[in-house]
Amino acid sequence: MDDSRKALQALLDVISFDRILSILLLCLTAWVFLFLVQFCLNQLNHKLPKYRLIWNRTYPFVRLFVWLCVIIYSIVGIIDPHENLILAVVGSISIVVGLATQEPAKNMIAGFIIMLNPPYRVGDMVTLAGHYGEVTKLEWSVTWLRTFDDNTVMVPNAEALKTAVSNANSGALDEMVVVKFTLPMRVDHNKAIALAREATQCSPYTFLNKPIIVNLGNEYELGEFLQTITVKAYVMDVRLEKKFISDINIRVLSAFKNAHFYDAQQTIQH
Amino acid sequence: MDINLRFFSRLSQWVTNVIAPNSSLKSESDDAQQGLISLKTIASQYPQGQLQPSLPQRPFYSTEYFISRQSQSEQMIEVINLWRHHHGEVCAIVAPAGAGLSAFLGHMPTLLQQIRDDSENKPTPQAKALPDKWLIMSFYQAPLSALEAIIYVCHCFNISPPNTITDSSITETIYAINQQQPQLIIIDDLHKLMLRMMGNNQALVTFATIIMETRKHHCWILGCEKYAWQRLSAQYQITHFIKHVITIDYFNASDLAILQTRQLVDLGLISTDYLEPIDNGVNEHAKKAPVSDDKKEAVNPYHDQLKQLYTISQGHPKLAALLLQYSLSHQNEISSVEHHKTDICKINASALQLCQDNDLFSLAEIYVHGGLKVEQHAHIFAQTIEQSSLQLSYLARHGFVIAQYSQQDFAEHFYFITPTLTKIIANHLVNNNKLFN
Repeated sequence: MDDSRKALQALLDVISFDRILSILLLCLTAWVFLFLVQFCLNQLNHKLPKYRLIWNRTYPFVRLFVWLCVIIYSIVGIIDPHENLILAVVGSISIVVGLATQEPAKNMIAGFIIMLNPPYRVGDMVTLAGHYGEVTKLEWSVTWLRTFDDNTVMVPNAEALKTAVSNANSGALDEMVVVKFTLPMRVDHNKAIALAREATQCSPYTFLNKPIIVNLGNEYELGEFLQTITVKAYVMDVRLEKKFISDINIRVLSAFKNAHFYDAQQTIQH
Repeated sequence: MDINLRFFSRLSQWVTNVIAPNSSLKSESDDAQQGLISLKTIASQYPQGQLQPSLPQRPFYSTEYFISRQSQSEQMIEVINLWRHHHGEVCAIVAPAGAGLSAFLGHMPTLLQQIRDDSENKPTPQAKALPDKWLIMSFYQAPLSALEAIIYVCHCFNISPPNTITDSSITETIYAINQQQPQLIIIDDLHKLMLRMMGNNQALVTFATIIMETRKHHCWILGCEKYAWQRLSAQYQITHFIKHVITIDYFNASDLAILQTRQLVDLGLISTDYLEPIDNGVNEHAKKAPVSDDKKEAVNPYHDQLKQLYTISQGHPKLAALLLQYSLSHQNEISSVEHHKTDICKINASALQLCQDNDLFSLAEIYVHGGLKVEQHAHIFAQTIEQSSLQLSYLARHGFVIAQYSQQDFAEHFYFITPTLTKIIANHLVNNNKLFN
């Protein structure tokens, strides 16, 4: 009974107006600092978009570091409790919080693991929990995606560690895009490959520092033998992926039509 | 904690508006009073015009104001001497737009004369004589078929090209070219031969094949823009075939100061006496004993302005010349004795920030190709000629590109990057991931 009273008294001694005010001021300072960091990173993003992935990735780490510093300094520097009190409070809080917030805690731990050993970073194009889009924000407990339909999707971090994650660009601004074309068997495949390669090269969105690969294949569909041309090329910026696919289709199909690869009735203009 | 609050977002916009009010509301003289010059004003200093039906009277390549480039000149002499000694390889000179590549090529007669003098002093019987004829040329349009490429090469030698392309056309052309007297052929603006249109790929391959097969007999020197060269390297691995690559960059501070001191003399702001230490410096530099900077500083009252010019223009000679002239004429009366205290106008490049992604893509293609016609732009971006015309007009209105209007057809209007803005625009495009090093 006496021990409990002593522990309670020690806890009450710790809570004082000065200390609460100091902690609040510290939090405010950290918040203002993070606001300034984010403002500066946004400005850098605006001025040097080429390096936007680097700026965007910096923020989650800075935020994690700053808040960890705030928590540690608040406990060690401001509250400065007795060791027994720390053990008692941490133990009690852990049990209560652990039971009450099992899922959020799981997500936060997953978020911490993702930051330390990232399967994806801010700016990557990923498939996460069945959603494909750009990672726009990486928080402690959730990851935010923006899909090509301009939807914002929130995925719990625990989900990212539980399921397979497909990352299209792995930290680079460019990304490989694959487009498949089907042609009748009678078509000269060498000419088709050359046309597909050149048409892809002509797209202003093609990242020319990486190779354009054109593969030939064949398939049997609906009682007909067909040859397939698969174009693999890199787009300059992951955000242009859909535009690039459309552009390759326009150019390659135009080239194939001009070369009369398709039957006349298939290409008649109405 | 999410700190992306709407209030702060609005506050940030308001602060930005207060700090940097809309540039379009400012007049040219307001900017000049604040020591600024907009991109539009810089572009307006360039003479506008229509497409010329005939060639201009003045020579394209002149040696006037040619300075520096000693190491490049030595490399060039070495390349020509190697060719004379039967080790001919194609040579490329790569420079960013506006760094003075054409001026360097215009300096070739002087270099050739130097080689001729050297060979007369030290005759080597095994070496080929320098060709009597040499040709410096630039193509206006990119070839879009193998036949067009053959026609282009045949023009270099004034031989008649084939009417149609056959399996043996390239072989016959190579044979015919190798039967000609040895020639020195300098092709400036190689990047103008490259175009993102169907057929250009085969044309470039044919062109390169003919050059490679005739390189022992004729001396080929190609001048190309830096970013276009990078594209040629990525697409065609051009560096695998060209052995000698000479690079030229923008001027350093001391070379730019020499150029601008001459301009100050031309403007009548300093006497020709100030040129003497520089001329001596150039001569001594040629003898590998440069004059110290302190000596130049002591004589030039515009030393501070020349330093500012280098910082602002980053070594771009045309931009530096324009800035000097503009700053002196807009911030003071031309007769003022306080000229040497005038600050050089800084460049207000905020208009570039207004460009959308599609504008930047257009600028990148115009930059790399050395200019585009409206119809070519429409083809590259798979859009209508009208859409391209409007987009290019918008870019021209902001001063990023200069238009040369055709009287016959608006699809033939030709747009090219404002020559004084090449470095600024290229840097912006690189930072925005539209051009690659």
